[in-house]
Amino acid sequence: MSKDLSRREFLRWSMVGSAALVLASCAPKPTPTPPPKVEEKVVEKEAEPTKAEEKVQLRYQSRHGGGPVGKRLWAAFFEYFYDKNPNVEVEWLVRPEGDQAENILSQMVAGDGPDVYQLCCWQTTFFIQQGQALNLQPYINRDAEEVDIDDFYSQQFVPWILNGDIHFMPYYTGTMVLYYNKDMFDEVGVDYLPSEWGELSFDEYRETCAKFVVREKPLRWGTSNYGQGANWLTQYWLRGFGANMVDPNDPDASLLCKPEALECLEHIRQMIHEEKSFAQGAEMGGVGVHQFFNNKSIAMMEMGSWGLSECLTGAAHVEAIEAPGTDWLDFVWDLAPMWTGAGGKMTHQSVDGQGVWSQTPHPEESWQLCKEVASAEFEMLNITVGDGMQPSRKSVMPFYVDALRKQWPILEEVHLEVMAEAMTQDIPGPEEMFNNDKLCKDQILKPAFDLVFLENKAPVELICEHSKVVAKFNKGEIGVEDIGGELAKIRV
Amino acid sequence: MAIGLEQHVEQKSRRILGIKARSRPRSLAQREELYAYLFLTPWIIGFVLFTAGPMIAVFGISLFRTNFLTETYYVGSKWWRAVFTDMLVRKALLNTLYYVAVSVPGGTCLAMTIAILLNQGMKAQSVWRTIYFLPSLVSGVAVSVLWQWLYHPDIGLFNDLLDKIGIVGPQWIWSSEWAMPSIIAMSLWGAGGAMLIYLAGLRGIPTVLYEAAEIDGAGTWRRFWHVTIPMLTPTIFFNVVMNLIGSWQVFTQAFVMTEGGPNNATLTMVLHIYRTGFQSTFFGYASAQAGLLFLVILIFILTSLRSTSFWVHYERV
Amino acid sequence: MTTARSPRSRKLSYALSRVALYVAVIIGAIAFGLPFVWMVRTSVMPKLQVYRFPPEWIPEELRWEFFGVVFAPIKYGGAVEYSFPKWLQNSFYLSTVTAVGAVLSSSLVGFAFGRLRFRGRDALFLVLLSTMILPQHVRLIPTYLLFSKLGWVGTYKPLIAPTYFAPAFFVFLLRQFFMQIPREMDDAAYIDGCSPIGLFFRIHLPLSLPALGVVMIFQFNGMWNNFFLPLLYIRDIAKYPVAIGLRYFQGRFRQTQIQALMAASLISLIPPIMLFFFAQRRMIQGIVITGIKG
Repeated sequence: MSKDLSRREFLRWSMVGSAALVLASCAPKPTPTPPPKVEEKVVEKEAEPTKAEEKVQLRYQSRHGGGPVGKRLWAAFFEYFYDKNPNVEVEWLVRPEGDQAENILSQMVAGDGPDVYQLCCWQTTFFIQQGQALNLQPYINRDAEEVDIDDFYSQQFVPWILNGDIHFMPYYTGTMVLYYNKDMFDEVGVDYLPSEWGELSFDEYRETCAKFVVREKPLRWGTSNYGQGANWLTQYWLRGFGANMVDPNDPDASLLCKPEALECLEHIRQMIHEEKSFAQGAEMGGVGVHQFFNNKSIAMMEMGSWGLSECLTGAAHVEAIEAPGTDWLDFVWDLAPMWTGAGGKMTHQSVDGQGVWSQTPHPEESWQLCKEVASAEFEMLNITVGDGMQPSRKSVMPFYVDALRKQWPILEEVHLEVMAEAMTQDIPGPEEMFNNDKLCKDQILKPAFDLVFLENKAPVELICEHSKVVAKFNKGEIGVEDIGGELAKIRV
Repeated sequence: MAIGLEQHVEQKSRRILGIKARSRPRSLAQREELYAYLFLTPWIIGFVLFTAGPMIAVFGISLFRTNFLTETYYVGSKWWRAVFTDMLVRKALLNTLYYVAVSVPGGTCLAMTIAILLNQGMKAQSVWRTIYFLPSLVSGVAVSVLWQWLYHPDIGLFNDLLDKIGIVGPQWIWSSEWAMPSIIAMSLWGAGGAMLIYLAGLRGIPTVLYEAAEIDGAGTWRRFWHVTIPMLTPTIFFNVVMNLIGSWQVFTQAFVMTEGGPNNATLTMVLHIYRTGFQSTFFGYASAQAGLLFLVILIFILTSLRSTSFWVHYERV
Repeated sequence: MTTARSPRSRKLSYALSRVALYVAVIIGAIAFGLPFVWMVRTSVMPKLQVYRFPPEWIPEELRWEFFGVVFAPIKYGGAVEYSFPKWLQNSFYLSTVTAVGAVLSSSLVGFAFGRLRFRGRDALFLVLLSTMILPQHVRLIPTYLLFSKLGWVGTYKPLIAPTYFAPAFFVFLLRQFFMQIPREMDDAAYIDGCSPIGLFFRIHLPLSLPALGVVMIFQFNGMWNNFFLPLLYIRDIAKYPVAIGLRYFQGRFRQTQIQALMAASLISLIPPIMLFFFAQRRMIQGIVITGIKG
C-alpha cells in the first residue's frame, strides 16, 4: 500500500485538503461570525449594565424602509422607541422588494418566526387565516387611549378582522385617486376634473377617456391602472357600480354574478377592447403605468398616493439618486377624486400593516413595537424624515399635505386634499379578501379574467361562472384537486 | 461508413502516438473499487447530510394533508390519486412538456452551433464569446424588466422592429398562443451557458485525430461529422440531460412575467407546485405533485441513459 | 484520395466561408447583445426618456450619477455602515470559496464515476442524477428546518457547505470529461505502478483543465447570481451578496429607479465577465491535448 501512496502524493493530498478546510472556515473580512442581533440604536445609550441581561430581544421583519432614507427614518424611530421601552432591543430586518412571505413562513415552521412582521395585501390575511397573527383586540382595548382607534381611517381594519377581533395594525394608507395631465386636457379641449368627491360620474369619466384615444402610432389611451384582473384593481371599479368581488357577509363566496357586477365588467371590457380608451395591463408590460403617464401615452392614471414620488424629483426616498432640475415631468398635472358610480363614492385604500406572531415568546413587548409603528409619532417621522408615505391617521393627514408642499413647492398647485378627504369621509374601501384568497383569485378567477380582459375571447358571463366555483371550493363541496375539472365543465 | 472512418482515425492516431493496448491486472481491479469508494466519500457524506433527508421528507409529506403550521393529518394515497385526475396538474404537465420539447432540442442545437462557430479561430474570439455568454449571466429582476419591455405589444422593441418591416406583431406574453413561445425564446437567449460547456468539450478533442483525418484526405465537413461530433457526444449528452432536468423545472419566468397566464397558458409544473404549497398551503398535495414530476423526469433520464450506448462515444471503461 | 482543386478556387471558397462565418456571428451577437445595449443606455438616461416610444437609443444627456449612487455608502447613524462595495466583497468571498469547493469535491467524485469500476456504480449515478430532480420549492421547508436545527441560519454555511460535497451537476459534467480521455493512458499509468490516486492527480486532473475551468466559472456565477438562498438564510444587511443588494435599489414597484437598477446590474456583471474572459482564454483556449507518449 505504501507504494501506491507516495509521499509526494500524500503531501499534495493533504495540502489540498487543509487548504479547503482553511478556506471553508475563513470568515469574510472584516465581519467575524456575528451574534445574530444587530444593535439598531443611533445614540450611544448609557444602558445600565445590570439591566443588559434582562433585555428582551425582538425581531422585526420590515417590509419598507430600505435604502438611505429608510435608514434615517428607522434610526429616528428607534431612538424614540427605546426611550419609551428601554428593556427592549430590536433586530430590524429589511427585505428588498418585499418578497418575504415564503421566508417568514419557513421561519415560523422552524419555530423561529419574527416577533413583529410587516406585510401587504393578501399576505396579511394569509397569515391571519393561518393562525399566525396574535389577536390584538385585548391589547387595543387595554391601551385604547394610546391607540385611539377612531383616529384611523375606519375601513382600514376590515381585512384584518377575524371573529370580530383585529389582528394587524396599519403601517400606512394609500388612497387611489386620479392623476391627470392638464396639458393634454387643454390640448383636446376637455374641462379639468372636479376636485370634490362625488362630482365625477362614471359616464363622464368614460366619455372623457374616449376623447384621448389615438389609434395610430404613437398610440394613446385615456386612462389606465396596474392592470384589471382578478385583483384589487377591479374591485374598486365593482364597488363603484354597487357590486363586490367578495361577498361582504361571507368571505367564502363571490358576488360577481350580480347584474351590477356584470355591468361593470362589461364596461371595463368595452373600454379596453372596443373603445380602446383603457390601456390594459400597463403593469404587466413591465413598463408600468407610470411610464405611460410620463410618456403622455395616457391622459389619466388611477394611482395611489405612493405614486407621488414618481412624479416628483428629489422625492424623499430617492433623493440620493435623482438630480434636481431636468427630471420634472414636463407637463402640468393634478389630482382628482375617483369617479362615482351607482354604488356611491369609492376608492381603494391600501392594506399595509404589521402584526405580532402568535407564537412569540414576548407578546407584550411585540405589541408595544407594533403599536408604536402605528402611532402618530411614527407617522410624523415618516412624513418628515422618511418615505413620505400617506399616514393612516386622520389627525396626521394635514401635516402630511403641508410637509409635501414644503418639500415640493410644485404641489401647491396640486389638489392633495383629495386624499385627505377620502379618509375624512371614510370612503370605502380596502382590498376584499376571500378565504383562501390567493387560490380563489389566481386559480379560479384569473383564467376567466385573462380570457375576458386580456384576450377578449369570452363574454363577462364566464367570470360569473368561474366565481360560482369559489364558493363551491370554500364551502368544501369540491376539493382543491377538483378545481381544474369544475372549471373545464363551464360552457358560456 | 461513419463508424469505420472513426475507428480508422483512432487506430491511426494511436499508432502515431505509439500507444499499445494492454489489459489490466486483476488484483488492481479490486483495489480500484476501494479507491473508488474513497473518492466517493465527499458525495456520500453530502448526500446523507444535506440531500437525502429533505428528499425523503418530501415524499413523506405527500401522504399528509398539512399546512405545516396548524393542521397535519394523514391522508394516505389521496394526493397521489388526485394527481392523476386533477385537470390543472394535467395542464401544467402539458405546458411544461411543450416547453421542454422545444427548448431542449432548440437550446442544444443553438449552443452547439455557437460554440463551433466561435471555435474557428476568428479575430477577437474572446470578445465574441463573452458577448454570447453574457445573457446567461444576467439574472433576476433586470431580466424580467428587460424582456417585459421587449415584448410589450404597444411600446416594446420587438413589435417596433416588426412594425418597421410592415408586420403587425402579436401580443406576445399577453396572448395564450404566444406566451409560451415567448418564454421559450427567452430561454434560448441564455444558451451561452451551454455554449461554454461545448467549448470546453471541443477543446478536449485531441488534435491528433484531426491530423489523422486530414492525412486521410477528409475535408472540413467530413472532419466535422466524423471527428468533432462523435467526440462531442459525451458533452452533448450532458447538455441534453441537464437541459431536460432544468427545463422540466421551469418556474421563474412563468412566475414573474406571466403569472401562469394568460388563461394558464404558461402554468408550469413547478409554478403549480409552488402555488399549491405556498399560496394555498396544501403542502402535502404540492409534494405529491413534485413526486409526479420527479417520476416523469426520472423516466426521461433513464431513457436518455439507456440510449447512450447507441450514440454516445465514450472511451470504454 | 485528395480532391483536385485549383489553389485559387480553394482560396475563394475559404474566403467565402470566413465571410459567412463573420456575418453569422455578428448577426447573432447583435441578437444576443441588444438587450444589453438597452441596459447600458437605460442606466445613463434621464428618466423621462427611458420609456419613450418609439424607443430612443441615444441619451439626451449622459447621467452618470446612477453609477455613483450605487457605490455610495449607506451610513446608519454612524454605527452600522454597509455599502455596495461591501456587498461586492461578500459576493466575491462566497463565489470564490464555493468555486474552490466545487472544483475539488466534484473532480474527485466525477473521477470515480467516470474512470473507476466498482459495484453499484450505475445505480449510484442514477441516485446522483435524481438529486437534481426535485424542485427546490418543495425541498425548501424541509431543508430550512434542517439548517435551522443545525443552527446555521443567519450564516453563510448553508450556502457554502453543500458545494464542498460534490454538487451533482458538476460531478456529472466532469464524469463526461473524464470518460473522454483515452483508456490507454490509464493502462500505461497502471503498468508504471500508479495507483488510482496518482492516476487522478498526474493524468486526469491536468487533462481536464478545460472542464475544471467550466466548473469554476459556473459555480462562481451561480453563487454570484444566487438570490434565493441568501434571501432565505442571510439576515444581516452587511452580509448580503450583490444579488440581493441590487434589489435594495428598487422601489415598491418595479418601475422606480430603473436607471439605478440597470447601473447596479451592470456593475455586478463585471466580475463574472472578467472571470469568464480570463478563464476561457487560459483554461479553455490554452490547453490542447496532444496525448502522452509511451
